[in-house]
Amino acid sequence: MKKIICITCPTGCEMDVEYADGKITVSGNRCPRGASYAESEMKDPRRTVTAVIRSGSGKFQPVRTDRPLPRNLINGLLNSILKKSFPEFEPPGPPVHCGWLRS
Amino acid sequence: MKNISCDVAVIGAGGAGLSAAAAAAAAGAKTIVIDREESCGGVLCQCIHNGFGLRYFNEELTGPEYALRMEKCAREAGADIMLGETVSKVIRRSDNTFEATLFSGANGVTRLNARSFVFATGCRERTRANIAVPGDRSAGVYTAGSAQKLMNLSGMLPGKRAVIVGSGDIGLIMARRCRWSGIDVAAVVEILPEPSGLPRNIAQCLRDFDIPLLLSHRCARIIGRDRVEAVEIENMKTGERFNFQCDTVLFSVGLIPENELLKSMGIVMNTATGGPCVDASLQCAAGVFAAGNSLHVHDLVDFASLEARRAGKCAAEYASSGTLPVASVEVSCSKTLKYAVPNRCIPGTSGEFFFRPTVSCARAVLRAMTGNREIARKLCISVRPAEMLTMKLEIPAGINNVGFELEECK
Ligand SMILES: Cc1cc2nc3c(=O)[nH]c(=O)nc-3n(C[C@H](O)[C@H](O)[C@H](O)COP(=O)(O)OP(=O)(O)OC[C@H]3O[C@@H](n4cnc5c(N)ncnc54)[C@H](O)[C@@H]3O)c2cc1C
Repeated sequence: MKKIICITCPTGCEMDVEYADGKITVSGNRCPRGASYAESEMKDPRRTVTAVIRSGSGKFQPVRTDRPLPRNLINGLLNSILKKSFPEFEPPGPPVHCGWLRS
Repeated sequence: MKNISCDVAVIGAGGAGLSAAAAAAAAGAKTIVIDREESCGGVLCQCIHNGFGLRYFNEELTGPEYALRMEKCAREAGADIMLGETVSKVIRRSDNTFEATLFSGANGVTRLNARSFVFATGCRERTRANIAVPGDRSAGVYTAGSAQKLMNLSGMLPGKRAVIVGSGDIGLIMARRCRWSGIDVAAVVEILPEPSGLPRNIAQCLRDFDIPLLLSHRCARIIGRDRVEAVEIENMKTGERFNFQCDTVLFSVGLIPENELLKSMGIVMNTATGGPCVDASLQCAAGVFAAGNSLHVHDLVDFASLEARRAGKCAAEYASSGTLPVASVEVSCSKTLKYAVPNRCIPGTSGEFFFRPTVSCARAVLRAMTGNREIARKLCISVRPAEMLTMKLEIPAGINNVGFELEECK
């Protein structure tokens, strides 16, 4: 059994998660989002990533991924945007989505 | 000198001030919001992480996204926003209207006349000096919020290896922000036996990165001639001392409501909150209203905005009618609650209260009493000082006091 804290909302439910034979049992969650977070946390943990990028004018702009990203891809994503500058992205521009940075 | 006039003036265009302005303008008042910064949002602009807006907008947003939404609400409701203007003084005239002095590099001095004022001036951080940490005066010592501002607004890194002092949410968020920017985090040290931030932030900001959280430990000394070289940490239980090598120390040791303008108007502060004493209209003197972090420190911007809506609406009502219902019911609270806001409420109305617990427990009952009679109760789950409690209450007519009690369920 594993104890995990739900990060979906500020309530932060402490959940007990049982993972046996591909079947997941969750307790301690106060809403269904807890159960789906626990399932994803056991099988394929993901996080929403936020950072700043350098825009064309040299100003820094906040960006976020438009969905939680597999945790093992986060460092790669951050490395690729930390080194780059994004001349085409000028404030007040649209928020940047994960697809946007694929190139 | 320029002269401008409005019904309701709001000082501060953060999550609270913008919401107050939206509510005041929606109620028909000519409303102006003033902020010394060049953009709206206050502290939200530097909080680039997600975790905002679930209650107010029913959606998880980042700080800047929340600020944009709230600015849109204020503008669409018809409020005017003046940026880059600092309010240096507010006085009450003999006819009970107000006059504020604003200054900016671009426009010089402006006189602003208003019928009522909402103060949503936010708070500032406690520093190393506030908690009197001895040692060298080396470079590399920051408050967590100023490091956050450097990193998120100017794209600068404060150092290479940090120790974070204090486990409040700002410290925790900064631990992750450091790691995501390539800065090593040696540890987060917390003087109390339990963390002061939200459990979700312990999980996603520390555990995800295996950053040690040292509870019941304090930062006893800063070492380093020019730049920080190490910090000395003391175990509060055993007295044992040891060093962490680092070049950066971030202090996240609490916030102080910023109320210099209100104090200069002679308004009495509540020692428990650091903000003014207010009634159910969030009024601290006739025509003077307060909301957001300058009233009491909020852990969630959503609550600051919700509270500010009330201040804005009441400020508009005061501006048009000159009076508000008398709040004759005194509010008090038990020792398990650090404070209750507001401090006075109106009999025969529905009210909303905010509390900061002093205790931690799995389950507790929050009771509203008048004398020995219980008028309402609410079950609270996972109570911690880090999280504000709220209660909606129908206040019976004909009473003159309400006492709130928080009692642990055994
Ligand atoms: C690091 C950090 C992380 C946080 N994380 C979360 C989170 O995940 N989720 C969440 O919901 N909340 C979070 N919060 C809390 C939330 O952001 C704040 O409670 C909220 O934004 C405060 O809003 P405010 O309008 O009261 O104050 P502020 O945002 O501080 O606004 C006050 C404004 O008043 C202006 N001002 C002050 N004095 C004057 C003057 N004399 N003249 C002109 N202008 C003046 C200032 O420039 C400022 O813009 C976090 C806060 C911090 C610092």
